[in-house]
Amino acid sequence: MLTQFRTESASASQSATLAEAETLASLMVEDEAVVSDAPTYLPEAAGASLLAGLLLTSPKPPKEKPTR
Amino acid sequence: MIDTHVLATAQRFGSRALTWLHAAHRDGLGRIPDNTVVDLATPNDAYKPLGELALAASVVLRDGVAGPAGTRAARELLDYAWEQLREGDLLYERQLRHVTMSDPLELYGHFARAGYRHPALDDLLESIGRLRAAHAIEIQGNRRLAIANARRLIGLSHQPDWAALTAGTWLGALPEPWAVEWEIAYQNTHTVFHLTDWGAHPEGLPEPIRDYLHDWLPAWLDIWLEIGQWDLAVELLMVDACIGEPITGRQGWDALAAVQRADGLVPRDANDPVSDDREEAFRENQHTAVVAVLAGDITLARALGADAAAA
Amino acid sequence: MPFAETSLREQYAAAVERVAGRTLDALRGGGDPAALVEPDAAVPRPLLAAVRLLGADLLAPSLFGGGEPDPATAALLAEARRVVPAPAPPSEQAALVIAWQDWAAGRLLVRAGHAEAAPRPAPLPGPEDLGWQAWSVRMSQLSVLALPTLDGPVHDAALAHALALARGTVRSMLRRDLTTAARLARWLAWTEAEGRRSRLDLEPVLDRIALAGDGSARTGLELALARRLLDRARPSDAEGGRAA
Repeated sequence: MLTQFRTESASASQSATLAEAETLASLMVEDEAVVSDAPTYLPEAAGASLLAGLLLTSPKPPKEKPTR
Repeated sequence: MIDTHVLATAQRFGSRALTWLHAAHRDGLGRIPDNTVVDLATPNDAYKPLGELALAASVVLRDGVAGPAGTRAARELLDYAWEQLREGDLLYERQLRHVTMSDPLELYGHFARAGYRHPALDDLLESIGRLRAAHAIEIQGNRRLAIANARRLIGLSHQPDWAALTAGTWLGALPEPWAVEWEIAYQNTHTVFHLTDWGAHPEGLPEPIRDYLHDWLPAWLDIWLEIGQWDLAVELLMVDACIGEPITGRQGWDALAAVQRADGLVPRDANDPVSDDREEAFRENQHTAVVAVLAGDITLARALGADAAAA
Repeated sequence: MPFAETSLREQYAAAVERVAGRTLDALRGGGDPAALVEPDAAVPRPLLAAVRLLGADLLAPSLFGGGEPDPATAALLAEARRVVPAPAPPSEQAALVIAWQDWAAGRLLVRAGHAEAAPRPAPLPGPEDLGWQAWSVRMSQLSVLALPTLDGPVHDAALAHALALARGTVRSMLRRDLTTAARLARWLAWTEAEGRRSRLDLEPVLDRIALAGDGSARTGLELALARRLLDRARPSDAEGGRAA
């Protein structure tokens, strides 16, 4: 069976082999995204809310006050 | 059975936030300016926060688990807020002028919970409740629940259709939990707060919504803790207390206790440093203090209530 | 030589895309992954590394076809495991993940007559030790195990903690890490194929990742495998011609 593939001979140098082995491992075990891009405060969403929408709800907006 | 570590953390967290709020108001922060008229130019500055203060203090008194110092602080804060609203006259005048405005009704509900009444306002609200106009205003589902709960607290005769109101909320649709946004998350917390009257009636939450929150609340808490949205995280812990048996465990409480300062201030989020200016620090973080008081109080009250019921 | 390392990673990543794309084609009925290799031509080393890396997933098309691992593909995978240097993981945890991935490939190769049965790797810690968040990330790294006919302690853990997998999926979706979410959704689809109804509605999750994800063939393969697993969970739905 194996004869149907001709594979290239082993790499020349040890460092090349180590680099291959490390690269392989990093692609086999991918970690999750380091930085979360979770949803957060959107000025355009809160800007539309008048008092009625904000009463007893969220603390924002602190700086961008809705214009009335 | 709730973890005693969680209970101890929640108790300490809430009572320190209450101390911070009490000290700030004792020192004159958050007052309504003397020249205020019923057409508030900036209702979010002092008027809305006074309502939130009354909410927290009235729930502390209702639950009776704060100990003597906490109970005294809550009573003083309510007296102070009521006095700031001119014993309800400000609410009455605002409601008289604006028939379909809901904020006087909602603020009054929290005072009524603690026995602060304004008879003329009671009559006015009862009369307005008979108007088709009062029920025809076009607002979000969770806001309708806020109004319904306020009417319930005040004891008005109008009986809302809670099931229909619940169906009109985001949570009522049991949506894909990964589609939640920051703003929607706040709306969801309030749907739970009003349906359960801030934890007094966990059974007010329909079973499918309870199951939904049981499944997904841990994921929501986790992602907002990770990006330091402390205010929202505290609200989510309050939700956890309001739905009965808490599901999220120690993660949130430990994280929030770690960011609470020695004076009791809980920073609203991890994005902006807390201002060195006391007034600004108060303005920006008072909402988080209110929800911290509520989250600690309701967690404790539900756990003790459940224990008492089991005993 | 940082330049050389970057370029090696890029070469490997490109080869993974080729092999994953080819496997996707095979899954849709277009030949087998071994067709990547021309008879009697030298197999480029990055391609072999990619074969080694995708491991058991290469054999997924024949497994979903209801048969035994495709002989030519199994031969290619066995050759890749023989020739490509063993991966060098940066941590013990990563080594354990790779050991389990290799276990999955080894199990299928044994059935194709290409390997000796290898011992089971050490057990993985569960969500009660790691927390559901870290555990679900670990499971996402093991998504290659979520294949028909494979079974073992990792699969038992997936069934026992399906809600933790669902929470992990939602968490990754909300962090906008759709690559991790795709791998977790595949596990959930596997639990559905085992007869457990997921607490999370998976169709919209897969649609969302297909539309907003990284668009890679590797993630596309995860999604396609998840859909095929869902088809097994609900055979009557599969008549509707859901795209694999």
